Amino acid sequence: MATVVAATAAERAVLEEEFRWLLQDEVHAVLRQLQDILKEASLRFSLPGSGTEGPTKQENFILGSCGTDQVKGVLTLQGDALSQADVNLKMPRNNQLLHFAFREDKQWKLQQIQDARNHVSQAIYLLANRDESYQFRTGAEVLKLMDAVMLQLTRARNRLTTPATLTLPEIAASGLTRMFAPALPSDLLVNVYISLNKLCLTVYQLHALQPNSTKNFRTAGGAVLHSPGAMFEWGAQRLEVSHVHKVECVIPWLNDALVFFTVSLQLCQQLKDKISVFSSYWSYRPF
Amino acid sequence: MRSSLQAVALWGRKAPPHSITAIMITDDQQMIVTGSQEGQLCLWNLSSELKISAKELLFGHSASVTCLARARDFSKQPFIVSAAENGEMCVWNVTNGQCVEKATLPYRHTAICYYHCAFRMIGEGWLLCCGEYQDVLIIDAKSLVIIHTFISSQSPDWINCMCIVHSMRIQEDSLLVVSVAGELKVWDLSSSINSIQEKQDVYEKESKFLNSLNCRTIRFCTYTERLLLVVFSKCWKVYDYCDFSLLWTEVSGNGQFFAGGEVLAAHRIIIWTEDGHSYIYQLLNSGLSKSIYPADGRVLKETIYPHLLCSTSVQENKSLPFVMGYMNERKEPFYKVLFSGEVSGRITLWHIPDVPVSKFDGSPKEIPITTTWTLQDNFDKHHTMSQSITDYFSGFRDENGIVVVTSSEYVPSLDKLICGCEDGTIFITQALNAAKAGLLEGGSLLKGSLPQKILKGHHHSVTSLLYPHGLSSKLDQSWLVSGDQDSWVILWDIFTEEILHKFFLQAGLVTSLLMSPENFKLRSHQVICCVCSDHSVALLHLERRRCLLSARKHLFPVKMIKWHPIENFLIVGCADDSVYIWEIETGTLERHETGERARIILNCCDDSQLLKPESVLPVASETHKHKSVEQRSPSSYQFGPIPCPGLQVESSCKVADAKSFSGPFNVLPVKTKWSNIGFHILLFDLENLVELLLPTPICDVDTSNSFYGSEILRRAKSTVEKKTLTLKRNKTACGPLSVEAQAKPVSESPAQGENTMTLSEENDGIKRQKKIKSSKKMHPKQSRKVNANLPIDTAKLLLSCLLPWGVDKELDNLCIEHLNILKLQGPVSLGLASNEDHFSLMLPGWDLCNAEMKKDYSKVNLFSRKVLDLSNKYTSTLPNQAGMPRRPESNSDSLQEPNTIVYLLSKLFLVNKLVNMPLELACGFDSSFTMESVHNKMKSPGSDILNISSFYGYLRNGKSESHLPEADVSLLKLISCWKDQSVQVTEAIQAVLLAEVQQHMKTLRKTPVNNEPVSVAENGDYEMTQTLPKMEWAKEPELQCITDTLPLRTPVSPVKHDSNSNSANFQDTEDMPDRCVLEESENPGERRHHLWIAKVCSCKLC
Repeated sequence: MATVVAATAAERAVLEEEFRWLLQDEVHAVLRQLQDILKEASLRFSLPGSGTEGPTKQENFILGSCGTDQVKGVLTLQGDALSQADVNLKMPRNNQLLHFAFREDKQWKLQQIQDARNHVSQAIYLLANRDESYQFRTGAEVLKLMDAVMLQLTRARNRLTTPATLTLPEIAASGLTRMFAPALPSDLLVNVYISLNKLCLTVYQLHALQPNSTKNFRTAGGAVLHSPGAMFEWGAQRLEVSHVHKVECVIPWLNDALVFFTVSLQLCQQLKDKISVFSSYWSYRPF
Repeated sequence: MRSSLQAVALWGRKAPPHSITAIMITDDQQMIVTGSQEGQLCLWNLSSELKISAKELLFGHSASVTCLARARDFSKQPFIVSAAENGEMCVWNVTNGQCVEKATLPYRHTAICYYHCAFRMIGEGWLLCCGEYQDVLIIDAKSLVIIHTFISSQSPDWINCMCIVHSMRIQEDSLLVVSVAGELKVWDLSSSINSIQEKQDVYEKESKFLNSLNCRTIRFCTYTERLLLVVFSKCWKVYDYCDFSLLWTEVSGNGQFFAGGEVLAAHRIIIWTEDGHSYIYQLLNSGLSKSIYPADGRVLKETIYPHLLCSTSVQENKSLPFVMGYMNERKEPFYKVLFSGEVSGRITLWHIPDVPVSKFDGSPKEIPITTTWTLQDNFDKHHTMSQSITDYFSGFRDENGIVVVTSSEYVPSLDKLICGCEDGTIFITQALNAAKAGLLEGGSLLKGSLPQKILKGHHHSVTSLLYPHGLSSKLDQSWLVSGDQDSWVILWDIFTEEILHKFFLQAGLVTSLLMSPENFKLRSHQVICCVCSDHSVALLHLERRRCLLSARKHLFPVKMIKWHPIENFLIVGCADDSVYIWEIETGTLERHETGERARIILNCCDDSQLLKPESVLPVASETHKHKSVEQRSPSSYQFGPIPCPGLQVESSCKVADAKSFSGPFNVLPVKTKWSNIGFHILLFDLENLVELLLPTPICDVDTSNSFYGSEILRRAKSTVEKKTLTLKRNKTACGPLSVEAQAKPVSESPAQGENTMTLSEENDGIKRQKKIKSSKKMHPKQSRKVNANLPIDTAKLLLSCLLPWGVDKELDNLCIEHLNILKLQGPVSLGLASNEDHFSLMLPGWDLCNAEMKKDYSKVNLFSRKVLDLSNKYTSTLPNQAGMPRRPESNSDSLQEPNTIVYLLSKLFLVNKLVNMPLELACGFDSSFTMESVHNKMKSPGSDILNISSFYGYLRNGKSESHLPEADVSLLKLISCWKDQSVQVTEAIQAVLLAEVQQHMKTLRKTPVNNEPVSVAENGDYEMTQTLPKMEWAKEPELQCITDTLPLRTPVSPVKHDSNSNSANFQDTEDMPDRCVLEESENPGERRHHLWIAKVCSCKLC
C-alpha cells in the first residue's frame, strides 16, 4: 500500500508539472491558432470595419438546377445582403417567359449569413481578451471559455446548415415578395435561403382552390421546401401549390467558412479533452 | 417538484460554484441579484452598512444566465426577469424566491430594459429585449409573450446594447440602441405605444453610423439632457444628443477592454473595464458654446475633454471577465455604489463618494474596496449550517478528516445512500439516519453507531454509480455497478459486500452509467451502458459478465443514447449534432450521419436516454433519472434543436416532468457543472407521508374505487400465479415503501400500451403478494423494521426541520419529550418549489439576512419575525371551538406521539395546499362557503376545481360533528387571507406548526401524565379516527376530479389510492407490536377498538 502511495505522489508531481505547462503554454498556442482560423473565417464574411473598408464587393451567382431549365436566377450578393436579383420563369403550360427583378433601391438581408457572421465575431471577441498576458489558473476556466466559444461556433454553423422552416403564409407575408419591381403575380411565391454552402431560390406556383371543391383542405405546416399539393389560406382564399421549382448555386466562401467552423470546433474539443485528462487533479486544489 | 414537496438542502462545506455572468442591485437597494454560468441565480442581502450575505440560490435555468433586469415597478412588486443562453426567461419574486412566470422563446437575449408608461399602457409594462437576433423585441412583462418588434428600415442587425431616455424637455421617451455593426438607432417609445398595441410597424426615427465595433453600453446624461456616453470595447465616446455629433473619443490603453460606464452627475462619468478596473472622469468644458460655432465638427470636438479624477481596482486574484454595474441613488443612507461580480463568484462593492476628487497634486485618487464577499465566505462563516449528509464518514478517516464524495446514489426501496469517494471507497448507509446525524442535535451520537458498509475495490475516485434494481425490478436487488476514474467498472453484491466482477474499459474516466430500457433485451437481459471521458461507449452484459461492445469512434462528447429494440442498434448522439449507429451484435459502426439527417434519426427513435454528464439543473436530471424507469412514455421528451428562425436551441433538453419522485422521502444528490462539488437535497413528500401514515379503513368508500381495486386485485392474483417463478428469485424483503415506489411511477406514466399496462399491474401484484407472504418469513428482520418505521421517522425529521426552535424553551423540551423529535443543530436550509422545475434553496446564513433577527441567537430556524405574529393570530382563532377534535388526545404517550405527528402533518399539508392555491380561488372562497353545497360532484373539470371540491369534501364531512365547521372555516379563511398578504408558504407552515404544537403542548403542561380510564382513550381514539377519514375524504373528490379530467389515468389513480391505504394500514398493524413495547398491556385492546371503530365509522360515512 505504501509503495502505491509513493508512486502516485511522484506521478502526481509529474502530472501537476504537465498540467501547468498545459495551462501556461499549450492553451495559449491553441487559442492563437483558433483566433487565426476564425479571423480567416470572418474575412470570408467580409466584416465591415475589419480592414476592408469601402463598399463590400459584389458577387454574382447564377442559380440553376441540373434537371430542368424552367427557372433561372441571377442573384447578386453583397456581403450579407442580396442587392440584385433576376428571376426568369418559363411557365410550364404555355411556355410563356416571365421575368422579375429587384427594385433598384432595395436590398434583401440574408439573415442566416448575418447571424453566422455575428456569431463568429462574438467567438473572436471571447478569445480576444485572453491574450498571452492572461494567465489561466484553473482548468475549469479554460473549459468555460471553450464552452462559450463552441456555443457560438455551433450556432454559426447551425444557422447555415439549417434554414428556417417557414409556412406558406409566412413566405407570402415576408418582405421578399415585395422586393420585385414588376410586382410578383399573385400566383407566385419566392423564397431565398442558405442551405449548407448553397444559395437556394425556390419558386412556388399556386392555384386557387374552388370554395366548393371536394378536395380535403389541410393547411400545410412549416417546411424548408414545400412540395406540390401543399395548401394554405391567404387572405380569404384557399391556395394550393401546383409547381415547385428549386434552383441553387454553391457559394465558395461559405464552403470555406463551414470548413473553418468544423476545424475550430474540433480544436476546441481537443483542448477540452486535454484539460479533462487532468480533471481529477485540479478540482480539489486551486492551481 | 410538486408543491407538496418539502426540501431541505445539506450543503456540505464547499459552496457550489457560482460564476457570475450578470449582476444587479434591486431598486430598494437591499438585495444583490447575480446570475451564473451554471444557470442559478443567487440573492444576496445588502445591509445598510453595505455588508453582503448570500441568502438563497434560485434554480430554474438549464443554461448560463445572460442578463437580469427588473420586471415591474419595484416598489409595487419585487420582480426581476432573467434570461438564459438557451432562450429561457423567468420572472422571479425576489422577496420569496419564487418563479412567477417562465417562458422559453427561440431568442437569446443579451440585454433587457423594463419600460412602463402608466397613463398610456394597459398591463404590467414591456420588457424591451435585444440579443442574437435582428432589432428589438417587445415582450409583455407579465405573460412573457412577444407583443411586437421595433423594426429597422436601414440595415437591420443584432443589437448590442440599449437604453431608454426619458427627456423632460421634449416630453418623449425614446429608445436608443447600438447595433453590432456600430449603428446608433433611435425609436420613439411613448408616442408609438398605440401603434405597437395595434401591431403596426414601427421604424426607427433616426440612425447614425458610429464607426466603432463592439459597443458595450450606451447611456444618456439625465442631468444635462445633452450628453450621450457610448462605451465600445476599445474606446469610449461622448456625443451630443441633439445632433449626434461626436464630442470626444478616448481610446483604451495597454490592452484593456472597456466593459461599461455610467453617468455619475453632470459632466462626470465612470467607465469600467473587463478586468475590473474603473475610472471616474470629469468632463471639462472648454467654454466654447455650440451656438456660436454651429455645425463645425472641429470646433465642437474641443468643447469637452476628460480629466481623470479617481480610479478603483481589484486585488491580483483576477479572473476574467468582470461584470459590473453602478447604482446611483441609495436612499437612507445615501450611497453611490459601484459593484462587480467575477467568474470566481466574488462580489466587490466600492462606495463612490458623492463628489469624487483627485489628490491635491492632481493625480487620480484610488478609491478603496468597501466590501467583498463570496458564497464560500457564507459557508465558512456559518459552519454549523453547512452540514453534510456525508460528514460523519470523517469518523472513519484519520489523516485529512474530510472525505470528498465524488458520486452518490439514493436507493429508495432500501433507504440506502450509496456514496463513492475520492479515494475509491464506497459507503452504504441508511440515508435517513445519516440525514439525522447531519442535522439534529444529539444526532451526532448516532455517528459512531450507524450501520454502514464499506466497499473497497476501486483505487481511484468513484465517478459514477448505478443501482440497476432501481430502474428495473427484474434485476437482482443485490447488484450495484460503480465506475471509477481509471476506467474500471465493478459489479458488487451490496449485501455480501463482494466484488462479483471487474470490467476494465481502457477508455478513461467513466462519466456515467446507464441501463437499457425494459423493452430492449439482448438475449433476454438488459445491458449496462458506460459512457467514458474519451467519448467512447461500452456495453456490459451483467449476467454474462461480459463486455459486449466498445464504441470508440466519437470525436465529440456523447450527448444522447438511444436503443433500437428490433434491430439491435445502439444510436449515439454527439455534441456536434452527429449520430453514430452501432450494431450491437457485431460491434461494427453501421452508419455515421451529420446535420439534418442526424437530427431526423435522433427524433424518430422514441426510446432514449438523455445524457447530461454535467447536469445544470439538478431536478431535471433527477427527474430524468427516474424517468428512465418509465421510458415507455415517449411524449414527455422534447429534443434539442427545433429549427426556428431566431436561434437554434441547442441543448434545451428539458424534462418537464416532476411526478417521478416517489415515496415520502428521497435524497437527491446534486452535482454542479465544471466542478466536483456536490450537495444533497432531502425531499419530503408531505402528501405521500400523510397518506402513508393515515390508518385508513380498508373498506373502500368510493364505488369506483372499489371496482378498480377489486379489478386490480383480481388481475394481480391471476398474474401472480403465473409469476411465482420470478417471485422465488427475489430474496430480500421489500417493505411497504417499495410498494409505493413501484406503484407510483407506473401509475403515473400515461399513454402506455396495453401490454405495459398489464406489466405494471403484474409488478404491483407481485409486490403485494410478495409482501404479504414475506412479512412473516423474511429473513432480515431488521431491514423490515426499518422500512416500517421509515414514514414515522421521516415525519419526525421533517417536523424537526420545520419547527422554529428556541421560541419557547419549555416548548422545545416538551416537543423533545412528547413528540420524541430531536432539536436542530442549527437552522436548516429549506427549499421552496414554485413549479415543476423552478425552486429556491436557502443558503447557510440565511437566517442572519433579516436585519431584525441579527441579535437573536437563541432562536434557531425561525424563518422570519412574521411567523410569530401569524402564529399568534392563528392561535387566537383556535380556542373558539371546543377544542377536542383539533387536538387528538389519548392517554398513552406511545399512541399519542404518532397520532399527533400525523395530525400535525395533515395540518401542514392543508396549509401548504391552501397557500399554494391560485389566488382567484382564494378570493371566491368566502362566498362559496355560504352556499349550501351538497353537490359534491363538481362537473366543470380543471385543476382549480380540484382544490375547491376538496374543501367541500372537507367541510361537509366536518358538519357531521356539531362544532367543527365554523372554527375550521375561520381558520381556512385566515390562512387564505395570509395568501393575500403575501405571506410565504414557509412562513405559513411554520406559523401553523408552531401554533398547533403550542396548543397541543398546553394541554400536556396542564396534565403532565394523563392516565385516565380506557373509555376516555377510546373516546380520543374515536375522535382521531373521525378526523382522519375526514382528511382522507378531503382527498376523495380530488381523485374523482382527476379521473374526470384525465381519462387516461382513470384506471390508475384509484390504484394508487388503494395501494396507499392498503400499505398504510398494513404497516400500521404490522408495526404496532414492534414499536410500542412499553404499553403492551394496553395496546392490544386499544388496537382492536381502533380498528373496529374505524370500520364502523367509515361505514357510517358511506
